[in-house]
Amino acid sequence: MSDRAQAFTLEAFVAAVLLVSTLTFALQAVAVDANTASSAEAELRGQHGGVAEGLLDGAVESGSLQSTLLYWDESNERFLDADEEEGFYLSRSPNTTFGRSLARLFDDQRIRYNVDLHYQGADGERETRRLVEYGTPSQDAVRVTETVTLYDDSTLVTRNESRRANATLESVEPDFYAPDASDDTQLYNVIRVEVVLWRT
Amino acid sequence: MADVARGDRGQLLIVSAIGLAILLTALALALNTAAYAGTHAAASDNGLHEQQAAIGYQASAERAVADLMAINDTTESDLRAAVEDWDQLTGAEYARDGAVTHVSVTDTTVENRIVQDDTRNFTDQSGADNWTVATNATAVEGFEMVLEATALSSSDDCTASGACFTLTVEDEDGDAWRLFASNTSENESVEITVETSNGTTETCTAEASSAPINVTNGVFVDESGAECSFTSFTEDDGVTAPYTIRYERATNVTGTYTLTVTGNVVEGSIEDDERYATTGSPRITPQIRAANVSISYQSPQLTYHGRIRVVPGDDDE
Amino acid sequence: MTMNDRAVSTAVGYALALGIVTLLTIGLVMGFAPLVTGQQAEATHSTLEVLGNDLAGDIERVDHLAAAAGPNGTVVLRSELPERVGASGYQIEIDETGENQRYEIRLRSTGPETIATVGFRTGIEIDDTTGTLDGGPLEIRYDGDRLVVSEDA
Repeated sequence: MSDRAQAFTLEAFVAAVLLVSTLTFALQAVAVDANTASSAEAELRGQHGGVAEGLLDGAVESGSLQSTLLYWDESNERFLDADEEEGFYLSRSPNTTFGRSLARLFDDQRIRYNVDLHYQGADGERETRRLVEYGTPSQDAVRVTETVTLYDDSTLVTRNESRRANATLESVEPDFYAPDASDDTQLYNVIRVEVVLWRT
Repeated sequence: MADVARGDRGQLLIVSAIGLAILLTALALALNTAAYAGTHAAASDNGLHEQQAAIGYQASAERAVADLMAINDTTESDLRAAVEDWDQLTGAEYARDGAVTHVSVTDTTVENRIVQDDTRNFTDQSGADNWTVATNATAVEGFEMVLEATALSSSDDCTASGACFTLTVEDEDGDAWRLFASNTSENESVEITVETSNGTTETCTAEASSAPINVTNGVFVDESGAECSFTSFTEDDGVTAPYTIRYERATNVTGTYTLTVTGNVVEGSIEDDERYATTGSPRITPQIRAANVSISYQSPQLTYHGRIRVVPGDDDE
Repeated sequence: MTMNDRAVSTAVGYALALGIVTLLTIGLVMGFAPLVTGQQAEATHSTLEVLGNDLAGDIERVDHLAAAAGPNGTVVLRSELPERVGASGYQIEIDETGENQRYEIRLRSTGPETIATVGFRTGIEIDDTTGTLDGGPLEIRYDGDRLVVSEDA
């Protein structure tokens, strides 16, 4: 009986040593870093975010983004043909070159977007005005921005985006959403356009 | 026997369990490092985002400066003031994303076209008899005058201290080129005396009521249409850019003139300058031909300083 | 008499069983050790390749930014590479492989000894005084003339 007990003890000891050394070996070799980025978010950011950035870059170069910011009805103090109550576009985009490009790109209902405008308000504080609203962004939404400069001699545009010579920002200032943030220069204001994209 | 068999089975169980454990752990750790490589490849690329942000900022700054430069009658100080405001407005927005941005105009090349097209004396808009047309002019082009005989002084003494109308082009060392206008004859005539920096004098005369003069080319046209050449300040080696151009005794001459001066003629804004206005005579039309702009973008990961040369943007006005 | 026989065979039985089991375990471990090391080496190699691509990407970003900054500009970008791969540290070398700014990043890990190489091109020359860098955060700098890669403090 004592023989068996010693043998069992020896086996148990060896087993324990083996287990412990395995554990040590495994722990020492395991990389501590863990990456939790989901591939779906990466795809959203990479592919659709990139497409949106490209669209914004092109729109600011061609002037169609500025034109959309000046697609303003100063007598009713809202964007042209926007929702009467909210003043912005609900679940659709403005009928400008830029707005139509946005719609064409993300027409696939699974990608929705909001467009917000940020600028310095009359009291020197940051103001935000919504341009397009499709809904509430989800947790993994992607945000793409572009900066647009407006001048005292920039003019509002008509429904087919041609300049209205008598409606310079200098003259319509009280009825325009952004104030003249630089009244002793020809600079009017600087608007940050923010497009937020997400999957439904 | 039965006891021994049970014991063997027990040992075999432990051993195979251990063996399995080792295998599984090893596989798990190998898969772990492979998985790490896999997800890392799909992780967000911060370097690219920073690059796009910095380049995007520079592009919007360049666009704004180009557009501001193209606005009519913008002087360098007008441009600087506007760019400063633009810097502040955009700085506030970029700070929210954790980046510090800055843009400023380091220097500009301004071409000023100065025109007097009403026949009057050569005083400035405030009526000053002796005044400086331009200082620090890096280039003077297309300087043409038409002098009338009526107001010209009849004095013999056309020197720096005399009574004749004097156009002086001076450089930083004090060397001067001078053009005097007078009428010493009894009839209507226009006489000019040009004194170069080394003291030599040349004269040209036109027996007419007025005479056209191309100052930059050194050509005077007399009553018969013949050209009388003189040494222009551009040909005078003793006088080099940057120039200071002055009129003295401007009431002793009448006529018209134009010239294009490259440099900062008007320091502040045109409204505050008593010599010129944007209309009337003499009037000045500044045009910023180029600006050197310094741009910086700073975030925890990226420090970017760019220096670019901006030219006026296409204005669709 | 029966008890004596059983006693002897039990002891031998135990010794034999123990010996066989030990041999089996050793055989198992030794058999799978190369498999494990092989897997580790492969995993390390692919991680090194990914890091090499990340670094090449960041150098290309600085190259692009340098073009925008002009000859009087400066650019400094921090490339956030990890200090270790799996269990071991690693070293980085950048060498020119051809004309017109063709380069190759060589990453060598010491744990399982593997080498990964990633090729890329730039518009602006990379300074060739960069020696061997320790794996970890790197600084890529453009000083107006060329690109310099160095260890970040």
